[in-house]
Amino acid sequence: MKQKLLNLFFTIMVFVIFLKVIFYSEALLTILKLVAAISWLLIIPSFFIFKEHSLENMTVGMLFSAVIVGLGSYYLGLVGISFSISAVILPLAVILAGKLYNKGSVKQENAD
Amino acid sequence: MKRETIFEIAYLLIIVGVFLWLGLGAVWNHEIEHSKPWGYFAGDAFQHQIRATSIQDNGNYHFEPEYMTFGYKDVRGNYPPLLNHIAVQLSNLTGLKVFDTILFSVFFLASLAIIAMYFIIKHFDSRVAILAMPLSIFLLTARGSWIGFFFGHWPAVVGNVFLVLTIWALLRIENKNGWILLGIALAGTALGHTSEAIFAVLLIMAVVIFQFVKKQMSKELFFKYARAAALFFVLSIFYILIFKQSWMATQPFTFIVQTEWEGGGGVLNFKDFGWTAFVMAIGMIAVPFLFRKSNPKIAILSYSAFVLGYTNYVGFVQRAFNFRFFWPLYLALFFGVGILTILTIASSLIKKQASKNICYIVAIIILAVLARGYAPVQGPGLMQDITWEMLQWIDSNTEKNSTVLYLYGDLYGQNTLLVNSRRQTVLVNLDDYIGKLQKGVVSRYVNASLYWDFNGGLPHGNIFSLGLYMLEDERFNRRITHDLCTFDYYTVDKTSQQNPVLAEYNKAVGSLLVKNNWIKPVYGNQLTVLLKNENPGKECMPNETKVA
Repeated sequence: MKQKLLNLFFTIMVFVIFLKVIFYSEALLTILKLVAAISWLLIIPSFFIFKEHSLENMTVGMLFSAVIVGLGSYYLGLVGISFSISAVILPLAVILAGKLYNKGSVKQENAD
Repeated sequence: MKRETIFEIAYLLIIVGVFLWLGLGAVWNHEIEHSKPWGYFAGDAFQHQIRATSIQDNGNYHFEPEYMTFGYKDVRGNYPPLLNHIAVQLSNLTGLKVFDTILFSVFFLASLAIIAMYFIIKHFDSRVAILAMPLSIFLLTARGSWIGFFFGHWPAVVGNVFLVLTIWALLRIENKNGWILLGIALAGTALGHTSEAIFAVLLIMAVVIFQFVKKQMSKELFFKYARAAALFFVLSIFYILIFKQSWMATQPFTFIVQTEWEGGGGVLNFKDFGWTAFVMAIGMIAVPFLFRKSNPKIAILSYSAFVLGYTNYVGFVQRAFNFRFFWPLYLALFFGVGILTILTIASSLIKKQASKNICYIVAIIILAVLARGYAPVQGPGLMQDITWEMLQWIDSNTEKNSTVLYLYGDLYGQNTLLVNSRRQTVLVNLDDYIGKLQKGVVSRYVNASLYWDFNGGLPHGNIFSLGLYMLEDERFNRRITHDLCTFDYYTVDKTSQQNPVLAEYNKAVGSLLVKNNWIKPVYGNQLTVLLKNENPGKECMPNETKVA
């Protein structure tokens, strides 16, 4: 878990620097807000989808999180649950689902 | 962390860094927050932005906004919803406007797809993966590709992003619970852009056929596919039901051959890859000979993606062109194999093996060559500050149910941008307007079109038997004659760079209107005067008035 948190911290820091380089004219605060939002919606859940941490698992984990956040917001909105609530519960749901998924799954094969 | 991993991360950051720098960074002046929609170069982009904004306003996507639906308030949300909801979530959490977060999301998700494709190919061969990735810059730099990002084919781009994810999941279907990932990825593709889900199913079928032929299809594996299909069905059935009764009803499959996208959609052809097409051709030939021990499913998927790109010849029309936007990723395997084949031949001459480090160096040189000279779009896009301010004024200061008639304006050919006023938007028909100008008359009755988003046919009613307003309402003969006196507001553009004569004619129409004491200017800037009609329907001019 400690290693996971370290990796997460390292990932977020690299992401901040990366975005600040690409969008160098933007205020740091805006970049931090954007990174915080993406971290909450996509990056943090991606760390829990797969047992093993790797760049590959993080990348596809973020894409899976994007599907669940997009799809979940759509359906929850239709049943009357606001964006502010779905923004909280969807990433938590991905984390929980990731834990359940990993319980039953074997280690992801990372060939090469 | 291993040195090799650090190299890999640095390399991938360079690849997506160049993609983002040239793509979004350059057009956005390396800023994220803007005061208006920035980098929108065609009406479709505004359509998505306006829809996403209305979802943010309403808190859900039950219905389309009435200013896009001919005034109907019960038109079911029928556009693929995934991107809009991601953009709204990001907007809500960051405080950035949806018009910024939606375009950012498109580029960000595409960047993730580039990295995901690298890892897909890495499971084929790691050196091929390194050498394949420079081709991803063709998502921007190839003719016809960048249009996907800047003309607003965003759902298609996002559909392709999740199609890449589907490919990744497909290659892991044999893992325990791998079917869950495939079902989710496929649902993401369908709700990202439904036509890409059809391509995803065709790609899955290619692999399934291969597994049958190779006798790799066990009963257990078959049931995994069945479970993935069931999960996909559960996650997407609600939207698929709407899609089937709206889009598939208004745009049914017809067997026509289409080689160009009418309306300027942008088509990426194989020849647009230039010299890299020759390299890919080498790769296509070399794969079965040089990579017999690599994962054959990845090669099968790449060959299939090449063939599926040509389904415009069997009735898939522009959907095949949508799919081709991502050819630079789907065919990247062949490029990597082609370059590695060339490197292997060259290194055998100098008796030195093409190591991973050499592959990194070669790949970065190729990336620099492919990215060189790219600058297809510059500037803020279609939305001018002055027009944005006017639209915002209308949004904030006019009655919600009012109708605005737009006389001629240089930008108004891309009429979707005007719907940012969030009012019923009617635009004069240019042919008719010019005809009146040539006759030297201002007519009380003008030919004009009410804006509406017609693609889904405006579905309404019970989810299991939707009706389509488009088929039920005879007003959908779009160019109908309107009585000028019935509108609530008129925009009169006083100047024009493209057609100064039409701007003069606008002024003539405007001065006739303001002769009535119930029609008054309520807003103005250097470009436009907005007139308010306090008595809509009251006779405001003769049927025809001669003007100089």
